[in-house]
Amino acid sequence: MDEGDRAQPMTTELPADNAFAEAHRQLLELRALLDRVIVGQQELVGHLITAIFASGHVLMEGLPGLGKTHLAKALAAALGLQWARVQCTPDLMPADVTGGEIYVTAAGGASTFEFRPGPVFAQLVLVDEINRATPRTQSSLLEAMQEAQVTHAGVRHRLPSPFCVLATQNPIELEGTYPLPEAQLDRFMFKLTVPYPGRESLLGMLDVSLDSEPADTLLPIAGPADVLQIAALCRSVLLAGRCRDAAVDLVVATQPDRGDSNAGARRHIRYGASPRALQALVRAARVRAVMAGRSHVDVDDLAAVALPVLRHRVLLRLESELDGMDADTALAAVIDGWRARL
Amino acid sequence: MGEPDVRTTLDAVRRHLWREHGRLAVRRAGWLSAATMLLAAAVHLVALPMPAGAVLWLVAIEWATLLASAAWRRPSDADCALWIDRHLGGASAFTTLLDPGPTPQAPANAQSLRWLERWVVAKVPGVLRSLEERRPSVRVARSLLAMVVCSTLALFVLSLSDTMPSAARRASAAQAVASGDPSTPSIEAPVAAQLAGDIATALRSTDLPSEPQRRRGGDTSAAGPTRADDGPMPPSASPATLVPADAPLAQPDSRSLATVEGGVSAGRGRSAGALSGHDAGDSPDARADPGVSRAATGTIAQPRSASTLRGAGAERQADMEQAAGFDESASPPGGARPGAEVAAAAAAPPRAVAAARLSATETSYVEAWMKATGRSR
Repeated sequence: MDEGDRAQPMTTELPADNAFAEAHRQLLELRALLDRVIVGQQELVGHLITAIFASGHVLMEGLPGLGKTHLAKALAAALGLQWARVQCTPDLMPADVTGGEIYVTAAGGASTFEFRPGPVFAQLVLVDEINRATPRTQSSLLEAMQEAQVTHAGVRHRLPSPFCVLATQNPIELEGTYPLPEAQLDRFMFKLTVPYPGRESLLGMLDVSLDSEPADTLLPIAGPADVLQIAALCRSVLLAGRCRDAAVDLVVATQPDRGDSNAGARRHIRYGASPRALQALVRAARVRAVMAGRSHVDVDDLAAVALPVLRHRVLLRLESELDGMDADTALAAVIDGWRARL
Repeated sequence: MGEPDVRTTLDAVRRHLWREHGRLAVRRAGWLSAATMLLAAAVHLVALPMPAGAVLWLVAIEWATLLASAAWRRPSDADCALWIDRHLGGASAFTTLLDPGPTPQAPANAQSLRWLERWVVAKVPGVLRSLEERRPSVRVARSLLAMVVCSTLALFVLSLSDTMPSAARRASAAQAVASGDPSTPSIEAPVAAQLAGDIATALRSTDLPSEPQRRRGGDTSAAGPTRADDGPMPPSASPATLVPADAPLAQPDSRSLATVEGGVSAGRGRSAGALSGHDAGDSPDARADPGVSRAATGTIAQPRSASTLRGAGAERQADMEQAAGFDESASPPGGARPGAEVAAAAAAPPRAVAAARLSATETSYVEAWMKATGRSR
């Protein structure tokens, strides 16, 4: 039994001649709106929009107070998406995320179990501090994130579309946390690091969000249907053989056991990127192409999304970690070498 | 839609790439020609004469080959599109447009292709403008200049008719002299003969006054039947200055000529005795002839001849007090050992050579010395 059909996308064809122009315009408008609300995080906003329209999920890592939750709320408000928030704690149970059956007594006296959807059935789910949930609860998100469905008591419940999980985690205070397993990390299209805003951004933030929450008053400029239309349009973006080869070369370059891998990868990386990383790379690059007003992918699009796609999909060698090497530094060398060969 | 513009752009880029290939070929040909000319000139100077015409033909073949290969490699549309995307801001549009991968039959792809064509057409003016502003990346001036300079130099060298290498000429002359070849340059023969005569005269003049003194000194070698002044010297006999240091002592000629080195070798013998001054008084054998005993332990011929000289002046060597009494202040600055002055006074000067005629070996030696002296001047 499939549920959630009410959330199926409403596909309306854009005019054939200006579909890409219209999508380009909408994406730029959305980005400008979020940039006004989320001050000083332009790159983060761009990646977040890319993930939304590429049907991906995002893991945001940053210190408390950098606006992660605020960004999720603003994105949901700007796109008119139904959103829910899950605050993860060690005693959070999987049913608290996916939902469960409750005993319902009907008016006629007949009693039955009825499935009550959890917060994961929202279109935009904010999973706050995901690394504080137990692995059992974390794994309850696996099926939802990968297959957009929840199976409960043998019954499959489809999730609404678009569906996006925005998870946050704190890089400090790791005591009492459960680091995400590699299998779960691989489900996220992007891992974004939230940096400190600059001085000018902080000054602008005082003007924007000192006494009010701008996301609460944000009017949507698009709806779920628009999101699905643009996502469908992005899937038709052309990918030339040169860019295909480039994407494959980049993923292969991160795999240390391959003969054509990067020298830096062989030195620092223990496990490279998976084929799912290749898919995420190309899907994200397609959205970047539409954001640039193109109907074809350029290698610059691949390069722009390479780091957030790959940084949580590689495992460094223990020696490199002890030397202070992090994934971003190792991947930066890999990406530079890859760009030089193009 | 927009195909002529794209075609025009591709053709313009193809012409540009073709010109770049041609310039690259010219640059390579220039450097190759310069290297070829220099190599030909070097071969002409060292090994064998090279006709200039053949070298020029070789250079022409190099130019023709490189230019033909550049003209043969016509850049394809894919090459031009890739070059536009890489260098003119094409953003992979031209590559994608010419890529056979997308299927235009699919509606979504058809829509994307139409947008791509519009995008490319809009991009064409900027691409052409960038192409016009682009400077040639291959520079040929340096290679052409190198080719001109090297060719001029090489042609000058190749035009020289007498290109016998001077080193080879010297080697052949020395070989001819050594073998007594009468074809030795005639201009050097009188000079050599005159020089040999001068040397012989000088030796005779310095030898005559010291002859009685040498006889008084008890030089036993002077009483030998092979004294040089008793008669004409056989051709095999050599003056003392030409005797090798390791010649056998039993040879009569060398024994008779050994006194020539008396001034030096006596000093060496005394110094050997002084060095072993403590040893000299340890055993009667050492006192009798320390030079002999030391010469017997060594393998160098020079001390052996010196010990022979010391054997000739046994009265002085037997004076142990004199051997032990080493006076540093009396030593010459050249490092002569104690007693060297006395021994040098007792040594006989070089014995005169009766005949001024030199053997072939001696003549070649004198000529080589004369040449070496002339070069050093």
